[in-house]
Amino acid sequence: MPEAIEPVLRVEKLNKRFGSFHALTDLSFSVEAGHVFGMVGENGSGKSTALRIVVGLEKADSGSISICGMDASEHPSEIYHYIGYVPDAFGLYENLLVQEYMTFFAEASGLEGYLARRRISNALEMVGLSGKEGLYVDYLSASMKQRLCIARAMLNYPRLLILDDPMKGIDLKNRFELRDMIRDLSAQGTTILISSHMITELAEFCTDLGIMAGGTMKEQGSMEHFLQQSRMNRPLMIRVSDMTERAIAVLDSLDMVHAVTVDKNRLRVIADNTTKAEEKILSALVGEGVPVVSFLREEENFEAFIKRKTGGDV
Amino acid sequence: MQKNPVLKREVRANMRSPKLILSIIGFNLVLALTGFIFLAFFEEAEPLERLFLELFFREDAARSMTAGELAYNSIRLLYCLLVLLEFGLLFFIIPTLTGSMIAGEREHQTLDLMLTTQLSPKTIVFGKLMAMMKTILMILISTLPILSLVYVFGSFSLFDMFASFGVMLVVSFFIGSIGLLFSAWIKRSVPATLCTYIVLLGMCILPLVIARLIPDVVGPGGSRSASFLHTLALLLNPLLSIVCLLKVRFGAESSFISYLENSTNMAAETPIVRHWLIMSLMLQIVVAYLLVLLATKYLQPKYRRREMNSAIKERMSAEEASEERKES
Repeated sequence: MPEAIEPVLRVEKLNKRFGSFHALTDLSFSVEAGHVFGMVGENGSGKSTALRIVVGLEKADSGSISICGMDASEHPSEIYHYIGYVPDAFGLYENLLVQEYMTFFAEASGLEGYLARRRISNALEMVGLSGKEGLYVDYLSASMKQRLCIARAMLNYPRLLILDDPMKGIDLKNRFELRDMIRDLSAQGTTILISSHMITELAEFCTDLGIMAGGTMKEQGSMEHFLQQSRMNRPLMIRVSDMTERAIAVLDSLDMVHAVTVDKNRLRVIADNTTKAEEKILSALVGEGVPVVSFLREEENFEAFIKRKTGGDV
Repeated sequence: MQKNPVLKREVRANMRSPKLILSIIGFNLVLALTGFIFLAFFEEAEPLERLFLELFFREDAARSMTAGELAYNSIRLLYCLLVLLEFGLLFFIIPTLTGSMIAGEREHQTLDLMLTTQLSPKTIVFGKLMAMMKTILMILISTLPILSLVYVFGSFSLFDMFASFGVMLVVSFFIGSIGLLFSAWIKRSVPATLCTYIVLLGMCILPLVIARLIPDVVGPGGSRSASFLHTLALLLNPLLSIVCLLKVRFGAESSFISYLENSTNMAAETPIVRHWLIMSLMLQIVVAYLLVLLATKYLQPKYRRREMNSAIKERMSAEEASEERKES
């Protein structure tokens, strides 16, 4: 029987406090090799704190982190061979040339001479910045700067690339280019952990999703699982001209109805996502004499679905 | 040390920055103006000269103030002025250089990136410090032609020049280490710089004031522990090291020794008093090294001050507001 492949990243029961405030509470998740794990959550849910602990910039109060099978607390310097980190701020030296910036981080990563030059060249080519080596970092656009940061993180050919909100401050057109680049990196086998507010874009290239709220992972699973859930949970929107309370009473009595919310004469009904259920609901309402004006399945988008799960504004 | 990537980058960035050129020009301009004005008006400044020499060299001044030695006294005064002025300029410049060393990296969000590479906190800190020392070295070397004004009149040797150069370097290293520690400890460049200035002013002035105000406590016959601490404070006083250099150079060592005898409970024969300058510089080097090591601790995740990002602060206030609403 083949052995189960160890996840590239395994986080177990991470806790982190700032004074009396619990930033992370028993946070646990794992990222499988070759996957793109998207981490979403409202502002202050602990995403950046979790990523900073994973890359060793903060120390957790308790819990464990395993990267490529290595305990991060026992091998704090070795893990940097396996990870590349792009924080949510650019972190650039404006008065250096692109080549000099990359050379600095190559040397900082222990690369020298020909190997360093080759890695720099490959990394810049990977992100589409070949030919820009002679430019000052200051002269690059925001999107190019972000790509330069990703190139820097790729110098060591990391097993795990960690991106903290890479789309922040990037305009729409360049976001598409960044998204394509991240997709290409993933296709080349790089495991990626990305935190972002752009849920719809994450949906296009993430294989897994983790929803954080209140410092803990509320839910995680494959992207397919969440997309399916989103389709199943589309509510019925029923508009009635009168007898609203009667309509609510009828709906509450039905087994296939899970929740009803009211907005004036519009009823938002969470029910089984089947045609039979819709038939039963409609006939029950009409049978009781409720004047139904419209009866539609709402086209809720994925972003709204996830926002409801995080419990706030993402 | 050349293999330190941080040092290489810092030197490259400094060479491109107008700050370095302006510092060198400013430094030399102040020294040159002082020197030339002095030389142009030294006859008119004779009363001031006497006053300075009497205050600085005490009984030795009276002995030397005779015709024929006047030119030497003027040049002695000029040399003292230039050296003290050079120290004053370093005192002013070094905290501004060191204040943003680590705090600036933090503000530009580049410190975190360095910490996620193979660079150890020690490598980062020492790279920064060595880059600062290279800048100071460049500035000091650039001032040698100005200082050599005194050589026009003779009685100064290369040894004098190298001695003051060496003392300035050690003192710069010491001041730089204090600035570096605050830069690593405090998150922002400006507060770090301000704290460095405050501490340095305190180190230079307070021990001298204490010796004046409470000689019975720290001086001969006073409390041993108070005297010991006061002696340490005097040894770590960079201004006193410069004054000692000048006094020894111009044969006013006896007045300096008697000052030490009155300010501490050490006799003139003790090795510390006899070799005050060397002892002081060695202690400053040791303490500077320890301060730098302490600064590296502040870069380790365990010792980093807990930094809450603004999003978490917002969440905290939202939760507090929500609880208040529930209670009401």
